[in-house]
Amino acid sequence: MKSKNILLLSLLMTLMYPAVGFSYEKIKCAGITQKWGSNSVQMRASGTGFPSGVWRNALTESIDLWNQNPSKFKFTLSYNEPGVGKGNFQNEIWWTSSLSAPAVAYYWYTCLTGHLVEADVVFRTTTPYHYTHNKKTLSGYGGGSRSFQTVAVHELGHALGLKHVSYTYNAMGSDSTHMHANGSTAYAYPGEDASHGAVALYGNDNATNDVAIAHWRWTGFSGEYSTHARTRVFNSSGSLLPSFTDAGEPRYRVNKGQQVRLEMSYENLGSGCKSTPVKYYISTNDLITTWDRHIGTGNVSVCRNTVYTTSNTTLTIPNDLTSGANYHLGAIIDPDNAIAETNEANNSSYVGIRIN
Amino acid sequence: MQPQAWPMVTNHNIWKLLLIIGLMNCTMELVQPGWSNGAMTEFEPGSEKALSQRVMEAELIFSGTVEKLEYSLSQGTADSQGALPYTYVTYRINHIMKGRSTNRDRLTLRFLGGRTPDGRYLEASNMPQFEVNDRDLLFVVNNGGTDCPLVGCQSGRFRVVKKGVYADDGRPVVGINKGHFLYDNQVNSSSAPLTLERVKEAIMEEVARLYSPQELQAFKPVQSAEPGMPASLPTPQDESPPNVMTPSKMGTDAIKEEDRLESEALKHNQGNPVLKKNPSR
Repeated sequence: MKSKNILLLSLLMTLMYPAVGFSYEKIKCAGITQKWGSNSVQMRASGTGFPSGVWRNALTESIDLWNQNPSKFKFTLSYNEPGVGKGNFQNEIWWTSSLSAPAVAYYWYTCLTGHLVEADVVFRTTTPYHYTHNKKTLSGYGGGSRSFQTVAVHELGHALGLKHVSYTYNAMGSDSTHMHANGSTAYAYPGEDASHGAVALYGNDNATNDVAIAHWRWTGFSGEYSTHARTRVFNSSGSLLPSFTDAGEPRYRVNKGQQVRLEMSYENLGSGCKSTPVKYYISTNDLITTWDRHIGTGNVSVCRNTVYTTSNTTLTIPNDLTSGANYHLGAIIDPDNAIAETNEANNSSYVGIRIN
Repeated sequence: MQPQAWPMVTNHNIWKLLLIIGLMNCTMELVQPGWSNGAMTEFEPGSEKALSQRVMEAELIFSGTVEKLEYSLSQGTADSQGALPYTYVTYRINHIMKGRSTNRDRLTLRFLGGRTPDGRYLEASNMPQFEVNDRDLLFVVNNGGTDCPLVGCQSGRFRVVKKGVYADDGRPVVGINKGHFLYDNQVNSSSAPLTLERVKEAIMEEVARLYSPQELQAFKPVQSAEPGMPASLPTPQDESPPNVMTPSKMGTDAIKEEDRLESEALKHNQGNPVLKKNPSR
């Protein structure tokens, strides 16, 4: 049996790195994909756990985030479910203190006929969750709270039919570092790869346009989960610039007049491929808009497959900035509003710099 | 939605069949931890417990070989939670490093997940997956009383392949530093794992550091789980959400007027960063 174990581990390592343009993992049994028989699935929120108020709003937001995905699949959400439990043929969401993890998705399927028949999502009350979008409160930005919405998006991904992903920037990996941030706020989202998985399972709606920028990137894996870190700033020859942590976020040291490359992750969360300009800015704050100082323009082509993390445009740090002052390098995708998007709010993000 | 009917096949054979078909189809299903429990949600990298903490939490630490797998429904409960499918994993115990088992040679552990008589399968997002003849090193806690009777669930099981030790997910254990297991998390890892003997030695050193021989003898023996026992949690415990501080009470940084105007303009533009011309410039 030693040889079987070796075979299994070899197979594991081989299968973890497929040479394909996507990474999503579908729930499978005996090689058969397990999915819902309908493109509309009702989730029921516990009346005890999600009464009218902030947690209900956060759960509704998480459902809505998934419903912006470019597949034909949509969740519906009902409230005030009186009784919840596993194995009752209803898809329910509740809170409990009796859980060995921050949250768990329990999914039931038929295996050979390939149908999901129930998916329950349970959150642990003792995890320091918060519903806020204030990034400084959240663990990905140096805060002490776990974003409820990133976890909910992850668990709802299981409920839709997806498994964990370890080998690309992904909400089905390390969800707390899979966010879109601009300024003082950070938002959860399913992301490109999970959206691609939803399309693979339920078909393309051929109607959703959405391109996005994130300042997170894939770095490796820990078990079944992808690990992520912040995007970086390089010099013109591709060497990483020195950096330090400033209020929970990285900040790079740059010289006036220096040529740099800003790394960002560009995503296509829509139905079809897009080629679009990207404009780069320097800003005195971490909120990147077209009011900031334009310092360069590049271009990206993004299809809905692998998240495109690149530093493909050389930028010059202006000479008239103040030494010792903090600024932010930012990028805006689709800066001319040429694409009519379902979500225009995820089109810009930033990386902090300090002028030497 | 009603589940599809399933032809009656013995549990053992159907799982064997699923294994073969799964391998033929080269899916990850049968080589990844199968009955997984929730999400980096279920388990957070970098947040794994120190060896000393694992040793203290475990009622029993042993190395052994999976001898038998059985699948059985728990007893149902009076509320909306019905009987749940569980997997019973019986180990032949090779070496105990901490604690005692009521049966010195064998121990049956119970994990949530498996097949129901009506043909449905339950999978939870953090449970490890087992096969007969798997060689493991386990940190056992509350067997039969929880969905997953291992310290940290997945992270409480180590696989032994040849003489090397791997995490449940296949990462080699390449060192123990400052009381923490070190894994090779790199893509295309080729690192040599620590040997089982080395890991056992480290665990036993930690046990000896933390407990006197008298304390070790006083540990209550761990009992095997029996198919058909009640579900681990009598009710799903539908609870109220946590109380958290409202964002307005968290304090905000002072904001410059020009930043406030930019923020207001963005809000006005539904978050779209492509703003109309700045009126102040």
